Amino acid sequence: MKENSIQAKPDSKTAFWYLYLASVVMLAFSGFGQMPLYKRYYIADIPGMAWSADFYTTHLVHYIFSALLIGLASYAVFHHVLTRKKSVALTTSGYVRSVIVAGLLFSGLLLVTYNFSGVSLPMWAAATLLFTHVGFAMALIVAGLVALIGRKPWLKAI
Amino acid sequence: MPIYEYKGETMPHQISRRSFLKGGLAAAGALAASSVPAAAVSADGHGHLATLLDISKCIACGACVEACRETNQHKHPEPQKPFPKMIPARAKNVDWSDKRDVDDRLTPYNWLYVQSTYVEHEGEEHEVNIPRRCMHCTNPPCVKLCPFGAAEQLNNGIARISDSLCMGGAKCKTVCPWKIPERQSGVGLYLDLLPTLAGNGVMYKCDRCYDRLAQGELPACIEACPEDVQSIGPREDIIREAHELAEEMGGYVYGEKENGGTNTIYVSPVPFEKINQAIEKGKGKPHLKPVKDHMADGNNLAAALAIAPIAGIAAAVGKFYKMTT
Repeated sequence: MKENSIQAKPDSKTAFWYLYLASVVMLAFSGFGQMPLYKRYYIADIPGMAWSADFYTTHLVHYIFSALLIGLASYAVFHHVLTRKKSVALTTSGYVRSVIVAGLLFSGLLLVTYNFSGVSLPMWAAATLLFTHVGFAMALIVAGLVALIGRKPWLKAI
Repeated sequence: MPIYEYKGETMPHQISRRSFLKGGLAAAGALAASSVPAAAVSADGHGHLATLLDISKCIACGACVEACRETNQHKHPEPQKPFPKMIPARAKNVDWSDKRDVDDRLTPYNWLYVQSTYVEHEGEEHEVNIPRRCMHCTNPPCVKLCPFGAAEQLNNGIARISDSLCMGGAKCKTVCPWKIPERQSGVGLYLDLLPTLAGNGVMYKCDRCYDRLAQGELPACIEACPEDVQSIGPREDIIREAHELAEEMGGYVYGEKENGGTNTIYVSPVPFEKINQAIEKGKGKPHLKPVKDHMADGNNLAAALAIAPIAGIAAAVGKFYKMTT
């Protein structure tokens, strides 16, 4: 059965999987690049990586890959609802990662809104929002690593 | 003093030292107390207060610089020494605590200084003196891009950095088109976290005396100026008056459009291109070049974030349609 084969080889080697991996890796890299780390720790000195010390560039890269992740998430939800909900369901790991991705996207969209002119937040609210976003990012990295090491797929056959 | 109704409160168009003194200190104090904070919730979309600096009036007496230092002394850093050893060595400690008297550039102890130069324009030589400090951008990158949320934009448009949250990473300085904030090592939150590995002090800059404004007082630099160089008021009024003044003197405006708009509007009898060429620029000495809106690229790209879910849903529906047919 097709869905069982997806479960056996969890989401790998599909265009969706590669795009998701690319978006998560680039979002993590550009996201941590919002902190002044890459110049201090010589990452920007690596040939071809000078851009990583330019905060405006990493900001744009973060937006571009956020758009990709939002597109993938929307596709995944609608694809599941329209074509797969009777044959597959989220595993516990898949459910946890879905909630984390949703939190990441929601907090990220609030931060995008915050960046518009005319939008301001009290310092405590901005700091809370930023650390919430970073917290979701760290949680996704941990959940992703746990899933990778434990070979836990997103989906299971019903 | 021109008075008009503003969001249900009576307030002056703009306030300068002279108008503050004219009505008598007590009356002006009461007026300012009731009016300046009211402007912080004005209805121009931002509620921003802007300052107008007529640099044809500035004589470089330094009263504003002195007043800023005295008034804000309690906010200046008192670093712990010796400083933590920085790892890697590329991260250098920055210490201005033994050079507190420096007043010919911006430092953590000097949030305002006067740039002076001579500019020839239309056959005449002009002495130009320009009080320089944070421009208080209408959409400040230092605030919006701080990764720790250690800076905020108040409703009245003031951009300020919290000395208790700032890690001193200097991103605010890097993203500032004028490189205004200045770092002092040996002070701040980083000392309690990973002082050798992350952070490097606290960034300092003009906070336009937000605490004085909150109490209905004028920023110290405005109050101290004997020449009435500066005035403060709702941004839309200040912009209008800046253009009227520029037209009157055949002059030029800077700060209205720079970086998408700032709350510091300079009016000069000579073009800012010429002033920018003539002034000494460099560390702690900001330029006066035209500045594009640094937040615009990201905010324009935000449209892609709105389109992305539509694309994702369309792909899913397309796949569903393909499967069912």
